[in-house]
Amino acid sequence: MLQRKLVTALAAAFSFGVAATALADINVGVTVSATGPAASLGIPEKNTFDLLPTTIGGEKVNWIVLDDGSDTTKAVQNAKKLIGENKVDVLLGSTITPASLAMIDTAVEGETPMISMAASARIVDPANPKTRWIFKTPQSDALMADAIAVSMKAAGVTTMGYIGFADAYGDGWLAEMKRSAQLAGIKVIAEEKYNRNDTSVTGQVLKLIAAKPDAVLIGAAGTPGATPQKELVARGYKGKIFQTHGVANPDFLRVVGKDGNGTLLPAGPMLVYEQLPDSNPVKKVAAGYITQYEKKFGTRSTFGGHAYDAYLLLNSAIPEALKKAKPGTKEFRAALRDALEKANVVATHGVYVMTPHDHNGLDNRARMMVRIDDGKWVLVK
Amino acid sequence: MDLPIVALLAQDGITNGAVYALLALALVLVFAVTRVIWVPSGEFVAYGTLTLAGLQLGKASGIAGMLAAMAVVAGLMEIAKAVRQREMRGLARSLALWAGVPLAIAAVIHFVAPLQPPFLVQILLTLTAVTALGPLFYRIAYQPIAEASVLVLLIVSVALHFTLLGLGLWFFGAEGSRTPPFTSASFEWGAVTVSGQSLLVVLTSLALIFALALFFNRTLYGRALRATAVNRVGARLAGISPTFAGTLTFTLGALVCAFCGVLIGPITTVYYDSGFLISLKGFVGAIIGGLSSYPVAAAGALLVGLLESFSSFWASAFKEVIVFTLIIPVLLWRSLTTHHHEEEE
Amino acid sequence: MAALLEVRNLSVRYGKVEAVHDVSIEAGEGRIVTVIGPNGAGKTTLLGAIMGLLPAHGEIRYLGESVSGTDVEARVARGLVLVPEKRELFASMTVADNLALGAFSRRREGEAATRRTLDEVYQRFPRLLERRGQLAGTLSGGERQMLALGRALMGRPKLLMLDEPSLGLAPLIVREIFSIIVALRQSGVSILLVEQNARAALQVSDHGYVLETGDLVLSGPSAELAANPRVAATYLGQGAAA
Repeated sequence: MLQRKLVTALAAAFSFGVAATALADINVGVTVSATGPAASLGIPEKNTFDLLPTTIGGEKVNWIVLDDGSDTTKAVQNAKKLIGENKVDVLLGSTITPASLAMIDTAVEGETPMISMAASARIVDPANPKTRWIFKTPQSDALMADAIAVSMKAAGVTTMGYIGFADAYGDGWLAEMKRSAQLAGIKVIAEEKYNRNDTSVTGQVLKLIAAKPDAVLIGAAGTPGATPQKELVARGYKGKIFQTHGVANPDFLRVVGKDGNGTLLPAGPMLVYEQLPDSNPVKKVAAGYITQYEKKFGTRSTFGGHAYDAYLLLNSAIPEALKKAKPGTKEFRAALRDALEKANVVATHGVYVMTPHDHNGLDNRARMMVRIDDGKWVLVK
Repeated sequence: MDLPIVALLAQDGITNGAVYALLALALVLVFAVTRVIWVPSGEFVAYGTLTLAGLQLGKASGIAGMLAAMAVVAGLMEIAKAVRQREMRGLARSLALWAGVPLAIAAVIHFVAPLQPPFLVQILLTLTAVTALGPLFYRIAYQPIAEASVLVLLIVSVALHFTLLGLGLWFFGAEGSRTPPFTSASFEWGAVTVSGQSLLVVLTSLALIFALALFFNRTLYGRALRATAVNRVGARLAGISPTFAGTLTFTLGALVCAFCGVLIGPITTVYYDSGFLISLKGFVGAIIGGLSSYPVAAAGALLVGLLESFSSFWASAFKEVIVFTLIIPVLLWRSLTTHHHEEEE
Repeated sequence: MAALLEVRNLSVRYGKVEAVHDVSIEAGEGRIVTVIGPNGAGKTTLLGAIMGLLPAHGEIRYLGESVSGTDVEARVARGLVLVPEKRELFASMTVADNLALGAFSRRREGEAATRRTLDEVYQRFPRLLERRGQLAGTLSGGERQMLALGRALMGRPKLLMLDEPSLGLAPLIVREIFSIIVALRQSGVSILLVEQNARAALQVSDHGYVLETGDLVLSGPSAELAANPRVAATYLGQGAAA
């Protein structure tokens, strides 16, 4: 049972947290949303930390994993506890954008580098001087929105409708999509909102269909993305349906069933690594991680990949930092930050080329268009 | 907005409203008889859908284990009570009832689930399992403090809500589930299409409401529950034990919630935490009925469903705001028109 | 002969205040026993404790067994029934429903048995038969008292405890109620009557107790008590000698 392991992991993590402040060890503080609304993203991330090795560059690494329940306040509390009590050298988290944004101040005050596993580009906005300490692994919405716009344009779409979560995720995607659509000459002619837990989206879908867009983008994460999709199909919508990479998990396929056929979405390459050409360097890294993950936890999740990529970044940066200072010191944290900023790493979601102006470092290699075909992800070439 | 759209929205609103109405009735019933504001009712709905979805995959989910664990706790409480009162005569019977029956249900689910029985059997198993949780929760959490104030009972309810939420995540996982539709038929009335699924939900809800009305007006047990709601002291003096009334009430309440869960499964994706919002909408209906009038509560819930459906068409971003703001004028109007009556003691 | 109800050294406290102090009374089979006393003497509290509605110290034996550990419903099921001062009817339910619920503790005896009792109750209170479809809350004071009595009788009580059955009723109806009490005793129901209307209570009863501020101050056969000058002066309004 996956959840049972999670609980033991949690318990272990907590007891770890108390005991593990031995001096020379490298302490990595993690806060993920393993419960609450973002649990479907946070659980695979949490699972991933179960797979990670306990030494990097010859030094012992303690992974101190806490759950923030998808709650902003709790995430900040966790960050303060990890920095204050556990004296961590680097902070990983959180799963969702609002929590990650809120943690920035704590990380900066503690002069501790932080790697977020949330999507929004605002987390590493180079215009904000605080983000000097902040990095993130997932593709920014902007990168993914561009991919959708390109794909729409290729299919001859000129008007589109949008239905998304009535929260930061849905609003963020709408803003990015409007920008990308405009660049591609596509008009957004209908915007609708819904909630993850809505029992019905009939009203919104009827209004979308009445506007007669060539394509509809659903801005949702996880299985809730299936609700408008099923309603669109049931109401006889004939245009193309796009989803975001937020739905790239097996549960979405299970819930959406045959109504998902033909749907297009952008996703990180790890989702379809088997279909990549051998020449793609991501293929080998993704294969290694996914084989390990699927053996222990069942089907892959791209969100677990974000956590693994954070580990890969640390794996390349920590040996550099160790050359300059000892773990547990202010100097080590600064050296680690500097090393992260110079990282050049092949990972599961693409190739990270960090620069002082780009603390995400991903490019077009980090996104693929994927089509749903009878419950399978198929790479669109 | 043309006629077909209005018809579709109305149909959508009435379908959801019917489910909210059932929940509103359960909430009114539980409050009237036991003074418990039953916050975790929504979790019972979600457990209903998710248990059925689990059975579809041949899994007994966590619900079998939960029933078994609660049966053991309830059994121990009965033993403790018998020892305290030095009254061993009824112990065998109460142990059979509180521990034996739920353990048997848990065992049946555990062993039958992997056999993938027919859909109807799965529904019956789901209803039995979730219904059994109702009296168990009453026995364990509410009965020992049945005489406490409404506020204390509410706090217990909120605690139970979070407990069930956590257990739900553990049992069913973070992702949602759907159950297959009961029917894919649809009927045409001129320009208006009515889906068989919606019709089935509305008809089943009406049938259940009718059955409940018969129960409360025609049977002795039904009248005993009403009597407890009207006058607790009077009911005790007539020999109706509040424990008995509470147990029966929670059984009925859980049955209604499990029913709702089975009904909404094919219409929408249900998550471990979906229940709260659904029950909150039933609660708005119940509040419109002043937590005491069944017909007004049902009508209120129907209104919530329609309002939700039409506001999701006109202003989807403000849908919840519109639905929950409705409660303010209603409360204002109620506090102005009805006399404030204190709890009679 | 063992008494139907024996109360020994019963005390009831509300917080620091002791409302009933060390009271012992008995109610015998086939008799009417009355407890009289002024307002606030603890009469209602005494009945509440016997019924199990209030926690109490001391011993309560009913039908030769201690009932201290049992709850209200168990006492009702054994035929110890109280008609409280406030009547406690189910106001928003019909007269017929109220009566039917009076037989709730006899639900396992079957329809026919309760049907017979219902016929007896309607015979004794023809008014209730006329009003059987009416809501209890819409009845007059006298009718309510009749319904409360009728509901209690539906449980086939062995000992019927009546708390101020004449309270707030017109004199004509008070007379009717007392004649019903006498008739009930003749049909084999023992009665424990608590009354402020001491004159009427002592007239119909066999034995009486006087309760003042929680203490039992006098007891004896009702005729003797009625002749007691102190009782006569305080409760029967006779003689200016007080």
